[in-house]
Amino acid sequence: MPSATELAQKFTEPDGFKKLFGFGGGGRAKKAHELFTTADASGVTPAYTLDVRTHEGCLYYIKAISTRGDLDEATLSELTNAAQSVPLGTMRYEGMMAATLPESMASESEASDIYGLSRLNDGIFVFPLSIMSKKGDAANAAWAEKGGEHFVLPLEDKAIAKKF
Amino acid sequence: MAGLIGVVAIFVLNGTWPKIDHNIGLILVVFSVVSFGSAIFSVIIARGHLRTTTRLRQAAAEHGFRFIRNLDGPGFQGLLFREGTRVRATDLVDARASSTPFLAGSVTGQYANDSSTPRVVAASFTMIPLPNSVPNIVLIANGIGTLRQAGLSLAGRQKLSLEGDFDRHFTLYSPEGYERDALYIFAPDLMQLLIDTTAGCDVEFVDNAMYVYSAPGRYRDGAAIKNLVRVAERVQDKLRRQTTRYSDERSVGFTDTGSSAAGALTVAAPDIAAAPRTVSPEDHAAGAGKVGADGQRLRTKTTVLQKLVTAATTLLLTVAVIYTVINYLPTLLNR
Repeated sequence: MPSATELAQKFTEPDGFKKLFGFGGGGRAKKAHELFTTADASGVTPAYTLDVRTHEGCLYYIKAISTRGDLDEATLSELTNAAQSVPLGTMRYEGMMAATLPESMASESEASDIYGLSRLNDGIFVFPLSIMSKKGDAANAAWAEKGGEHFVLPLEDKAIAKKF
Repeated sequence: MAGLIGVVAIFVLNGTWPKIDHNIGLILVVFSVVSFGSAIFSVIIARGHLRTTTRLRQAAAEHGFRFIRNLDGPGFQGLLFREGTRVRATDLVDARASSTPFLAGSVTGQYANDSSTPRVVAASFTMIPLPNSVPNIVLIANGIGTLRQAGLSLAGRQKLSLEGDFDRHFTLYSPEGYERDALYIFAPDLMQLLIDTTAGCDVEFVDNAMYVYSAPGRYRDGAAIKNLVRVAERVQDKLRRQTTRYSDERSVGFTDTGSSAAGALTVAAPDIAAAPRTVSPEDHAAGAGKVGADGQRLRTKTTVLQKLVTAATTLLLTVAVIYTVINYLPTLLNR
């Protein structure tokens, strides 16, 4: 599987997001590429797993990325506490509804509980991820900041391994 | 109740009482009384619960703690949270951001789902964060405690006997290979403190938290919360001293501090002046600086009784099906 740096490089090329979104995702891929390459800051960063729960054979994650280097233990502990206090129903719902790059995190109020755990001023993005199988994860996430808006896209390992 | 309403409706429409058999009338009356009684009982319970919620909300606000009314399927790591289904935490007083961090409330869930006797259990719980991750150690109170009621059983080979009269109060379980670690953490003064403060409760150490499980309804008002703050302060002080320097050299990314003993347990030297330690996502995922994989979770098992009940139920059902098929199928086919 490509590393975070290799993925960031691939997403700067026009075909990167096209490969990821696949057939029918052309418009979205174009927007994502444009955003990723013209953003004030963007990249692909390894993601922390703050909490993961299993329900009916599916996995529900709350993940975090830090755009300013590794997180300290105290911050991780606070974020983990907050993530563990999110009801399973919220994780499931917001995992489905969360807006992902090229839509901004603020654009989808239905995922506001989990996105609300983010500390955007400190470069910490917190986001949900649902995986409809017993195995799977997203070790990395693509992110961007543009005009005061924040964007995040969890990169599922299975999709990345298959498409890149 | 519906029957009674029907009878009254017939009287209003026809002007005469319907003719009801004496027995049916009696059944109607009994059902009506039971339904009415249940409704009254539910209202009383709901009012009592509402009063408790209000009192706890006020107590939490007085102390500057957060109050959470309902939390369906929380991600806490204690046995009652990770082993059950339909787990719900209610009336949570969240003091994790305070100088005496704890989280207390009620929990209900369905347990022993893989046995023939799944059960719904309610309990009170307190979670006290620890400064460090420790192996999963469980103290089961002697008698029928919350974890036993929930049908949660731990593999016998993990049982560990401690000195003094500790065994009279608790049965201690620690993961195989982590006996020395358990003895390091459970120094005699911590054992005495736990006997004094949590007697009759089940206690669990998991990751970087201690959970205390007790009978439901332990935290009902401000006085209980005040008492909890006092106990948490006392316990935390001791726990901090006992666990701050704990580290497990079997964990991923363990760095030797130079004080390693011959065995697995290492006491890390405290580094007061050090900057906050950062953790990379990879190390975090691998559980670096925590506890080795074998020590993170105790092995749970189905009890012998549960196995017997499951086997007996399966046998009875099979016999019943065979009996029905043999005796009634020919009659049905001949019709």
